[in-house]
Amino acid sequence: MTNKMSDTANISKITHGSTEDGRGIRTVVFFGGCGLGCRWCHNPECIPPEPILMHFENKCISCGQCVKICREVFGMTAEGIVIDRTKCDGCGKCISHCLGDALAISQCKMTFEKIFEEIEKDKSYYKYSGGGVTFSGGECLMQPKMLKSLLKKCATEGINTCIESCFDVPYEVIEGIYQYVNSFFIDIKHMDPDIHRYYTGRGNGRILSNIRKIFQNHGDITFRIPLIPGVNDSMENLEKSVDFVASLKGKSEKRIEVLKYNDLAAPKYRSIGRNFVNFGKPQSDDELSHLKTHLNSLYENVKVI
Amino acid sequence: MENISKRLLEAGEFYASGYTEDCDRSRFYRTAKAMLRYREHCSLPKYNGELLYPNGKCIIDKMFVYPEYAFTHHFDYESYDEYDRELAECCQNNIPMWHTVREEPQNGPIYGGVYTHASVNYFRIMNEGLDSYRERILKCEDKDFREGCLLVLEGIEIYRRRCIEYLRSVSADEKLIASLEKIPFKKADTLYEALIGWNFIYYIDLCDNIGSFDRELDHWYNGEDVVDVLRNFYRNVDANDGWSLRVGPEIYPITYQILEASRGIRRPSVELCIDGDVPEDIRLLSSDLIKSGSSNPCFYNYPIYQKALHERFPKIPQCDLDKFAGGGCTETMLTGISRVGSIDGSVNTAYVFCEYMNECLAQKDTFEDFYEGLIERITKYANMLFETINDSYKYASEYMPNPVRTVLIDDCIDNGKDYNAGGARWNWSTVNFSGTVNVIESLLAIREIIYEKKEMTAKEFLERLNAEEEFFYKRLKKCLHYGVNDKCADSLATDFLKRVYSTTDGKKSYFGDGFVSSSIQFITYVRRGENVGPTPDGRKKGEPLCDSLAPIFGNDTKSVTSTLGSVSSLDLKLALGTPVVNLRLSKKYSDEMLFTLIRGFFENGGMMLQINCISREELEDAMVNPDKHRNLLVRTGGYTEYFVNLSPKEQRTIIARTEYDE
Ligand code: SF4
Ligand code: SF4
Repeated sequence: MTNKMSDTANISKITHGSTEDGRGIRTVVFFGGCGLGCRWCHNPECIPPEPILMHFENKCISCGQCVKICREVFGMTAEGIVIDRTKCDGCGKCISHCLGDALAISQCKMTFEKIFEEIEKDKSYYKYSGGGVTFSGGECLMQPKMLKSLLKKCATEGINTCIESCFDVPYEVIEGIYQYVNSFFIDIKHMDPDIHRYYTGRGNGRILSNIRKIFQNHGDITFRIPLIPGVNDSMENLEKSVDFVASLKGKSEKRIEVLKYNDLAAPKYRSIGRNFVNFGKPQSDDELSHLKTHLNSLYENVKVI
Repeated sequence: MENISKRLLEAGEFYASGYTEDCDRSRFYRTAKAMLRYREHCSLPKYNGELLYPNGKCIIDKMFVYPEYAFTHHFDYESYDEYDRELAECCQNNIPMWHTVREEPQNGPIYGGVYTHASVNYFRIMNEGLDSYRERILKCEDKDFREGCLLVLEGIEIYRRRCIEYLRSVSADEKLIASLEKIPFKKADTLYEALIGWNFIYYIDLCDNIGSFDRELDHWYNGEDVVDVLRNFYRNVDANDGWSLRVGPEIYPITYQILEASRGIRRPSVELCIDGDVPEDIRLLSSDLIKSGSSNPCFYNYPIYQKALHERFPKIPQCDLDKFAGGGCTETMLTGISRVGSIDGSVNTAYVFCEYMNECLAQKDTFEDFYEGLIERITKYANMLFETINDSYKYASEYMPNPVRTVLIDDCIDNGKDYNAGGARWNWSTVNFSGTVNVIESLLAIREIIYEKKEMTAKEFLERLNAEEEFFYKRLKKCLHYGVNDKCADSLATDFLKRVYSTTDGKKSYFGDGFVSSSIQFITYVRRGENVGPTPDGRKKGEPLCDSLAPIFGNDTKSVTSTLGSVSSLDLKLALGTPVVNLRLSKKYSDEMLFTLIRGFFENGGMMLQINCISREELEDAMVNPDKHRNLLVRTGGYTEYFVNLSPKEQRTIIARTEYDE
């Protein structure tokens, strides 16, 4: 599933000035398309490889502009706007006309030059903060050709690079790029292959094997465990996950970040016509602090955020 | 006239009395005499055990004609009826008043009062003593000029004597009295003496700016802790609505104390100049000050100011450029050696735009035509402003001398020329362009909606705009904006500002070295918007204009680096008078991140940055419960103010500024 047009990639969005996606001030390039389909995904619009029309009901003021622009997709009823996404080809024309700022397109094609232009804009801020660019998604490793070109260019320009990935790609892809990457953030979602498959659509075999291999070769990896209530937050699974990381042998520095659950993605699910499954309440501070103490007794380098 | 002068003196009109004593002599001499009589008779501020003297409000006597630093003197028209009618009329007939010659309505396309801030040469006064000034004055050829300057010294001496006698009578601190026995006529030998002198001269100059401060004080520094003395001095600056001081980029031990003393005090506005790395303790102290709600210091990109000054005034040698400091709000000046009209006047570009758009938009077939016509119109008004300022300068140089600044600012004595007639070593006039970001955003909207996407005719556009139609305003907000680091939008902004700022290029001023452009809105951005109709940046009729070159609130929501990226893409050096940028950040920013933003911005061409770290909640609460937030300070226009002192409209613009979170 590499990008079809060699000189463009599907990009969901590019954000600037982030301080949460790696060291310092960072630009984050969100690639569109992902091989997994985690049910709790925070960027559900990034999962399909093609653009989807997003409609945020809470912002819609029923002005009817969209109906004027694109009758095939939009219709006005007494209850408000109705949308037939099957007729939408993602041209994006309706977006600029939407007076409520209620419409968006989940991803668009961007050329290498355009993406790099965005990355380059904050170069001075990277320099003074130790920041750089983070490639995320979706799954950035699913568009390896563009990713590699960008990474190489960043390396020659002295821009720090970071990759956020779930690592469910052939190892050759990782092998082709890791030398240009300064640091990795890798998700560990569940240690049980079947549960993993049930909630994400795929087993964890390839992921864990890729992690073991990259660990031999790369020096800076942070593992992230997103806490999903009732799915992966049992002490047993967390212990296994931490043990797995602790037992890894190689030259890399190991860090684990356990992330508190939140339900902030709900409006995004509704915007693409999908049901949002709420897995439960965010963990309390007490629970998190208990968790931290326990996991730290197994492995010192665990942060709970 | 002698009779009148006597009557004025008896009526407590000390200044006017002096002015009317020697009607056959020059205005310079008469003004100096007026100041002398004022200093002889004015009431002295109370001493309450402070470390310094004088303290508190500078002018405490009620006089119809009273001295003032920017305009030589003012007439108290506000309480006209409380004065003896005959004497007041006599003052009006015999004493000239500062005026802008061609009085423009203050709510029209151009406005301003030909104002002048300065900082006198404190360092030279403290380092040489005024006795040495006397020797230089005696060499002046012109009799009235020479004797006028001597009267200034005599006035200072009389005032000093009176202060000492008073301090003795209340058994004030002996050290304070002993220091005042020495300075400012003999040179200061210790840091303490220098600071007593600085404060004393600050009052003699009627309380304006402190100017470049730490490199000067370092001359006397010997390990003393003078934070309390500095705080005393700052309280005096604050009590008189005084202005600014500069520290950095070299960091001296005294720099820390100067910064620390500013904690929680509104004025002076503290300007920290930066050139590359900032030592960690200065970083920590500054971000702590900002986060504790001081809104001080603001940050200056030192090398770029130096470069811009050098390009604009190639004749100025480096040793003089080193004296750079902001005065008034943040106007660029050279401490002790310059006369900078600041701010002499403004072109309200939003007003001009609005007038021009309603008149001409429908007739312009292309955006380029529309744009060029606008530039032409702004240039026309700018030229009118320059003429007005020059007329005022001509008038001031003939009628409104300033003998005090003539003595205290170099090189007036050596040039034998009054300060207001071009006697200072360097002279320029700062003009301001207000509403520019409103115009930039409006141009972007017009280009996109009418000329590029052809969504409606100009006629429909204007009708819907002037009717402030809700959906139309929503459409306007969706246009491409300045402030999101978009090349296409930013290049229009760059071109527009370049054309506007360049209107000062090569323009001759009545005396001195011409004009410099600036973007400093003080608090006038609220009032200047009152008479401007709806503008296509989404601003409604009468709403405030932009308060700095930062993008319009709400349009800059992409990220803080994008906002700063847009601003730094402008050719800011062209607004050498200072291109003010206000930014509100969340308190969560670490000191490291804060300085990353500042340094990144400066590396890309940013010139100055004013940061507020106060949350929306805190500001909103201060609007409702002002008593709980008396000390909450904010940076606005180009200076620091207590938030609760601002009008509700001004408060709302500050709250509306986008707050960037980490
Ligand atoms: S993106 Fe294009 S096709 Fe899809 S709804 Fe909007 S206008 Fe219609
Ligand atoms: S244009 Fe936007 S705001 Fe208007 S009805 Fe369509 S989705 Fe809603």
